[in-house]
Amino acid sequence: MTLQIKLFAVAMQKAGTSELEVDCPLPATLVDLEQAILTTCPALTDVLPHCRFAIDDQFATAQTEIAADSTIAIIPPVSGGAL
Amino acid sequence: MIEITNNVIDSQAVLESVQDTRAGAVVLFLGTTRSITGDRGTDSLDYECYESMAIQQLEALETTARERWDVINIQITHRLGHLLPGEASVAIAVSSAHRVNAFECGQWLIDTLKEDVPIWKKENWSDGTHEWVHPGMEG
Repeated sequence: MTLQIKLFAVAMQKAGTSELEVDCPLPATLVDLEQAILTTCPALTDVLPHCRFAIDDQFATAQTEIAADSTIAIIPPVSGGAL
Repeated sequence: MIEITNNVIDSQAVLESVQDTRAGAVVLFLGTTRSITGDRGTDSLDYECYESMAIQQLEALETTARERWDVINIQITHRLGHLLPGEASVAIAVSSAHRVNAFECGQWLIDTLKEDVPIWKKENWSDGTHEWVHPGMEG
């Protein structure tokens, strides 16, 4: 199954694109998804472990199901700021 | 109310949007662009957003805040795009009958916004380099 992955900020910068097409058999866990992304785009190797995933505009948890029509995004750490 | 905008934030309008005759307190927080971080100078910042998710996350913040604090009105306005030092990137205003709720709620809103709302900033350093700011991912 081909999944579309949205990229932002440093993930977009490293990958050189705002949207990635990744081949990933379903059903898949987030670990499977991460592996599939790194196979397609090794440039994200240093970045991805620090990021969260969003599925359908919500932060994904280990229980979140990925469907063929899910909207998937890589969410790098948000801009933060010292207190 | 929640707003994501490409325009300059009108802080007076944000303040007025939460005012209410039942309120005894109105708290306004502005997040403004710093020209200096440590020993590095900043020429400008660029803010980028995953808009559909950011709106949902901001609405969820408002809902949770209203469950936790007895407040009257909440306004969160975040600006995107290119900002110069001194300009506000985010404004949060809260009104409540008594001040402790407005202060606590406003503090929680900005702290949580900076963890869970997918809006990112890029530092355009004065030495000519550019860098996305991602806490925990330096280097």
